[in-house]
Amino acid sequence: MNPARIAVLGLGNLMRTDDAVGMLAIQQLRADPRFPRCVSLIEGGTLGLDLLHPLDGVTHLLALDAIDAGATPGTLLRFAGDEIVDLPISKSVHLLGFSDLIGAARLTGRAPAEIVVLGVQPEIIGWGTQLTATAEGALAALVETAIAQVSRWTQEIERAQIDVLVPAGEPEPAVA
Amino acid sequence: MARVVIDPVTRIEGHLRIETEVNGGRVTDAWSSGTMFRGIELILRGRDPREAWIWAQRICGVCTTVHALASVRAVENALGIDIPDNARLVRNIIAGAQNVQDHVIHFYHLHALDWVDVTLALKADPAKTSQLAQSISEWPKSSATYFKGVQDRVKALVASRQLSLFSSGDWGHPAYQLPPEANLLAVAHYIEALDMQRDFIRIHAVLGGKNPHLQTYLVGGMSTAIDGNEPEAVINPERITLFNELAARAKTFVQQVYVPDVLAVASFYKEWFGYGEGLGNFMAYGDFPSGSINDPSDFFFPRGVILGRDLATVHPVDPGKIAEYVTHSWYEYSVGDQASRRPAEGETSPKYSGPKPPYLVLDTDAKYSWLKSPRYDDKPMEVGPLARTLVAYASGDAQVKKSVDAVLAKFNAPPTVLFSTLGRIAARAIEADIMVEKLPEWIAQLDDNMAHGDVRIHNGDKWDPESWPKSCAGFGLEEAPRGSLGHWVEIENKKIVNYQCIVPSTWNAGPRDAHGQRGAYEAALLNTPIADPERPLEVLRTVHSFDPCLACAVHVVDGKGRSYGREAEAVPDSEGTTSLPADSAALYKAAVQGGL
Repeated sequence: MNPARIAVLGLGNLMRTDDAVGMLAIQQLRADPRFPRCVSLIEGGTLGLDLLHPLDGVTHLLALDAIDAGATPGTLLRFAGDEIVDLPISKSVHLLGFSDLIGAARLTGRAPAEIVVLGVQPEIIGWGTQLTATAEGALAALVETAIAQVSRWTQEIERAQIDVLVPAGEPEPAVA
Repeated sequence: MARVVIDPVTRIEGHLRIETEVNGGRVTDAWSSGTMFRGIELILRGRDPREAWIWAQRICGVCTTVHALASVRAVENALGIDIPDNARLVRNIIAGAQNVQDHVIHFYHLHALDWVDVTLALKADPAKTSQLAQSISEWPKSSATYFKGVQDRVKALVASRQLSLFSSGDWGHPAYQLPPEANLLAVAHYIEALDMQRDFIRIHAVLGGKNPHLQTYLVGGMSTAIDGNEPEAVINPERITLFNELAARAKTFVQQVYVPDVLAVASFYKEWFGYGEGLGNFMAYGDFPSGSINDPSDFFFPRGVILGRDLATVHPVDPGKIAEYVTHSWYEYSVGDQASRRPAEGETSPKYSGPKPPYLVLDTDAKYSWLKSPRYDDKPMEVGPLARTLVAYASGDAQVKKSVDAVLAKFNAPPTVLFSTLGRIAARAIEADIMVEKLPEWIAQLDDNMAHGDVRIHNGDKWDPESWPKSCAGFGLEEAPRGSLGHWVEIENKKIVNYQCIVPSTWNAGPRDAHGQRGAYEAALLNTPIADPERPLEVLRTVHSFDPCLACAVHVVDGKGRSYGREAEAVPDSEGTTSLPADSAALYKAAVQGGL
């Protein structure tokens, strides 16, 4: 059995206001002393299939992004299992998005067994390098929920004694 | 007569809109519109020319690295800098790897679904698929059990409603002609190609520090340390071994999977050697220098122009004959919009005069695109793998001639069939085949230099701006995977005062010029047969055959999913012969349910 490996993937465009919320959450998690060092943090940005490489070998994937689900702006949304189908998540070059990435990973037989998506309903996604106050407020909740999810996974893995967690170590320079 | 609009064209890079006039089941006219503005040229003004490549590279995330190379070449040309041999080799390896990876991704992930019906793959007999696979290639993954496994994985994907990558196909369209077994074979290789491209491009991650957007260029060479005795050096014997392994795996894949698949698919669509002909004018700047960048006669990809389908004559390229019109583009020129401007004196003054979105059709008699109309000697040109292959073929390049003649012999066809949609696809495969043979040579030369103690990778003689003239100008030409790319730079008082890029897809996807001459897409779409104006798959086949790459900007998809699939709208003419889809929700529903 492959060793368990947890990764948190931030998606979004840093120049599109609230779309950046997932990417900014990654930056906060990296600076957070509570965040376990054995978990990889990936700044996915607006990459599509280029992310197949860093996701290779990941067994538990937590994706963070702005999600336009028609909810009240700032609402924190959680999707797991079959719910991630057709999620309106950031599309990227080639107009391939997160669900395409996961579809491709499934076809190659390398998809993470566990996938959870945490999203924030954006208020605006126009040009701009600052979150709206609404999204800024949701960012803290997103970070806390992400830490809770990762802690739950690490505990589950330890309890099941599937295997020791593989340390993230030095990230490979490749994002391809 | 109806105007059929595709906006956005998907499975491409960037934002492209195609409007066509369809009459009697055929395209009678076409207009190509780039719907996003690229402003990198304006951002570069006032900056240090040594950092231009970092910015310019961000023009695109798919043709990553190509703008960095064109930019450093332009600045080196302006300042009169020669780069060391190792830098030449590293740049060739990076660009060559990009060429191969891009062509493989294009065929399998961006273009194949125009020819391959995934739903039919589910009906294939795995044993017959195995026979088919073994009849065209020695590729080992060809057992009936293997194809049964692939079929099961695709079935599982369909059953879970996670069509994802396959959700935008026109499944069941009458223009699909492959037997079920060929469809299953292609789908299996689509999946294998996902792994191949992921593995192969590690060559960029190592040589560029990361991928996409490599970080190791320098005006004057590269910053990739090379040292045979230093384990920490980017290029050392261990890394040479890795490059060789990656190149060898890519070579096997290209020669045993990609090329046989292209030939097999083409054999079921031979009539497409007769569609998508286009301009008949082809241009290649040439690239992959064997010595100095200033000696094009020494390029691995030769330089030249072919006019009016005449393969007997290869004209030289005079960069001074390149100029751009904005007559039908959302820009204005200080000299008036009927005139053309050479890129060295180029202007980027955006002035949008199109309709306020949402709109049904563009006023194509007026300005209708964010792309300019580049012309060579006042003539529109097609650039890209087909242009390069034809220039090399007509120049008598022995290797290209052998490969092209082998393909033509297989189809018992004359070279004129290459002026077509299938010709573009075949040329791309031929080029990848030639490039995977060449990459190991460059790697070996790098290894050889290192073994002989030649570790020079950067020429810093003119790094200090105090050594520069008060004003100077230059240009950098390149063959990117999608075609001829040029950057022009003007430097004054150590800063950039003007910067212009003419990218391959501007040559191919640009609008009409002041004389009304069509661009390459517009010309290639004429006479395309259309079985169903609501689903103009045939238009996509020809547009995708160019491997479109519009300057990119990423957007979030709205919750109603309007950008999920390609949307084709048949817009009624004054006689109202076709109907308009009711609303975006209905379109989305149709796109999703019309899938698998």
